[in-house]
Amino acid sequence: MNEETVGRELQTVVEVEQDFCQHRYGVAPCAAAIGVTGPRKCFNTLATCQDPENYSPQPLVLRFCKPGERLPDVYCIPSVDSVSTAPTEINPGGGSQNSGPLGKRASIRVSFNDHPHSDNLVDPYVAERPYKPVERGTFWSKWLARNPYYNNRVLRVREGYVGQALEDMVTRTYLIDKIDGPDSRGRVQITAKDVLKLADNDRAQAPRPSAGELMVDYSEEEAISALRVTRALATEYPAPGTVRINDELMTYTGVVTVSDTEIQLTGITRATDGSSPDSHEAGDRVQICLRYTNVRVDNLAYEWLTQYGEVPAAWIDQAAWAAESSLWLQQFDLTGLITEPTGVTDLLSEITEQCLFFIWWDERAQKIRLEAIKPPIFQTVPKLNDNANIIADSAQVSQDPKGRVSQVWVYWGQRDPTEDLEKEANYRKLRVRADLEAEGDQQYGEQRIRKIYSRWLHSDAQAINVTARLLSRYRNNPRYITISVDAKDRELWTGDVVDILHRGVVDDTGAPLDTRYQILSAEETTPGHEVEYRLEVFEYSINYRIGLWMEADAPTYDAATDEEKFTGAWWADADGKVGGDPGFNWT
Amino acid sequence: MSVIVVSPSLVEQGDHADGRGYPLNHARIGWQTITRDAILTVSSETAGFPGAALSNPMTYERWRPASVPAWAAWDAGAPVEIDYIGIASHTLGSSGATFAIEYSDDNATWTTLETVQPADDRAIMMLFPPVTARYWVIRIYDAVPSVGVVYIGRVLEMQRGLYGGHSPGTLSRQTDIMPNRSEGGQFLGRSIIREGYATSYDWDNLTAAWYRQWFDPFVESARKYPFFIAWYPLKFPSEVLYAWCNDDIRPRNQGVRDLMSVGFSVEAIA
Repeated sequence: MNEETVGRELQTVVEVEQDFCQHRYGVAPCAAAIGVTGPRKCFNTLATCQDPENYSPQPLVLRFCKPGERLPDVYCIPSVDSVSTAPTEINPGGGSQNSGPLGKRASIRVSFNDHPHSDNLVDPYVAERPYKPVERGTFWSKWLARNPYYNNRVLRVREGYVGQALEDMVTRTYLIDKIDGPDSRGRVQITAKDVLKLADNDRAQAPRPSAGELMVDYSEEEAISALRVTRALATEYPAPGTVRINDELMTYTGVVTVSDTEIQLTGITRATDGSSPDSHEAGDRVQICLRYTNVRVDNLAYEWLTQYGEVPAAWIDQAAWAAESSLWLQQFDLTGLITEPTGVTDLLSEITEQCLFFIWWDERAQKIRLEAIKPPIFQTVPKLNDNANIIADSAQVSQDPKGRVSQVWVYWGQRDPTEDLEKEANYRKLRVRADLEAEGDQQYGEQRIRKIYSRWLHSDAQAINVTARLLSRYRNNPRYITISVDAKDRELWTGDVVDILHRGVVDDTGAPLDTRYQILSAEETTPGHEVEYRLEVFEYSINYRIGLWMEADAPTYDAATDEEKFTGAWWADADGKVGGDPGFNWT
Repeated sequence: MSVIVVSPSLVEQGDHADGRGYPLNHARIGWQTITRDAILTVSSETAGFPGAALSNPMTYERWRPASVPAWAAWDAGAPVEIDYIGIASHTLGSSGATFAIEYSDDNATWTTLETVQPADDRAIMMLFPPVTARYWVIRIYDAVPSVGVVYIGRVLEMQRGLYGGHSPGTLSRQTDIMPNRSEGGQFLGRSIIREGYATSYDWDNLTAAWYRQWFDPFVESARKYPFFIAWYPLKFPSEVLYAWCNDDIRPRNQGVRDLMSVGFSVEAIA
């Protein structure tokens, strides 16, 4: 049975990974013993462990399904009442005012009905207990008592059909945020969020706060050869580096440990990077700074997520990030200084907006995706239409005038990294690009200004690129369509591009217009049965052709395939045309 | 699978004094079982499918031996009179397994009650003349199945038959059907959410004494535990449910002599 089967029987399996010690109670290396370390055997969880030094957890997968569903070869507790999701919603270029540059995070709520339980699987010593577990407590009350440390453990939802193997089902992955219940009616609710929650500002900060403090006072004019710092280890200040003390930045070339209570930063240069010298007192915080010089955006995002957000590297396809970036974001090698602990989400929001890409959690592929804002590229994309795909009465077409942009102002060349990011006077350069036609009375008749304050951009070419690409994408009102499709079409997911033929989107003759969209969000409103997509028209308002530099053995234009004509570029004839078609723009 | 009537002599025998001897066109309810309290041993088990699963009534917990031949044996502690065995939530049919029921007084010499090769994975009730023995075993051959529920006990024979209007449980599927139609009016697909089976049973003209002696203990048990029920073993032996009640069962006095009526609704797996 699969998506194409008429009368497919739905099957939902929720998986919760709990930590479960791989050792046996009292068997080496576990040194626990009844009557010595505790009155009874543990439940192989940290909260019940009697030898924490040898506690060695492995994930134990608990599976749950809905009552009436059949999984004869899987230990699956039929206690799921409902599964509801709020999908990931990407926000390319920060165009939508309804969410931040990182878009909206996916979350899921799973409701369970609590029940008596035999403790099979979760208690390795169930046969030795002097009581009948099924007559004592309930599954979730016991589980929560034994597993209080459930935050950030994996929760998966598998959605498929009767007879399908678990690995063949569509699987989405989240991290547990909280568990409520059981309440007086035996209801338990697990809330889980997508992996990017690890980068939330209240969880991940870059740089990490430094513990070091000044040992002595320093006056504004005083020359410092070695900065005396206490309450810190030398390893917290890798050399060479930059520190911030109050509003003054200093660079250092070395670090030495003087005593148990003192380290010294040597080779000090005061008032660097545009900051001003200041007087400091003993006890003032010595904050390590993060300095980046010509680091490409994908590498920056990867470092922040994995080092400061502690996102497992397995959840990022770094090679795919590099491939996308080398093609479309090569120009965005960034230079900047972060002088105080800043939320990783805020940092990612800065560079995604300023460098024209977006990242999101693909809960199906279990990867954090990165994609550039770019012109439509030659690709064969799925097609959806009113007859074969779009469910009756589900289509809604809308526009968002607030997302339109007629001018882009990019402030760059930051003067003092310790100042407020959005203080205009703190930038040496301003690059403005305006579409005066769009602002004219015959078109939209108003200015819509988007201001970007960048500590990262360091060349005029970068600023020009940002202004040009943003204007190209958002010159017109962003147009959206929301549709629902049957599960047979559910392979499409967030970030995918699709052509839609819908009677509500027509050309000037009234004929349905084949329009290319990008899926901003995808939600299985009835898992395994119906999927709702929110899509944005995927357009790039430029009046010239874009092509890539071709290999030496590239064919002539006349001999080229359609794909080669779309992706490649040829020198134009004297009339500016190539084989009678419009020429390419050299930029 | 079905009700397996091990002995045709079960039809209309006895004087009903011990609650037995009612014809097989009357329903049979298997609720008593020694398997919750008897000492259970199994030949082998696999991870996540322990033998202990056979000691509770949960359908999602199953025993799966590591290999065949395999066995699960119960020691009731003392001889017990048994006249039915119920098996549910199993894959004996789809796996191609064969099983045999045996009993013994000394745990050494075994007598085979019946050997069965199920055709499918539906609930099974075996009815047979009462046998008194302390040790009971299920032996499995040919293929490794999983088995969730085993009841071994004394069956409740209903004093009266079910009258017209009853919806046979295995024909009363409980599903939620969801079709999809396109904007253009085309059929796009259809999904089914399976929710098992649901039906109800009603009996009239039960004597007050019979109800109190034989039926009320079942009512007490049904508050907690599921049970096997075959509504018409003689004519429809394949229609067996492993069912549970979601409400209390309450009888009514009919007002005619000392006769009573009772009815209840169930949800079930087949």
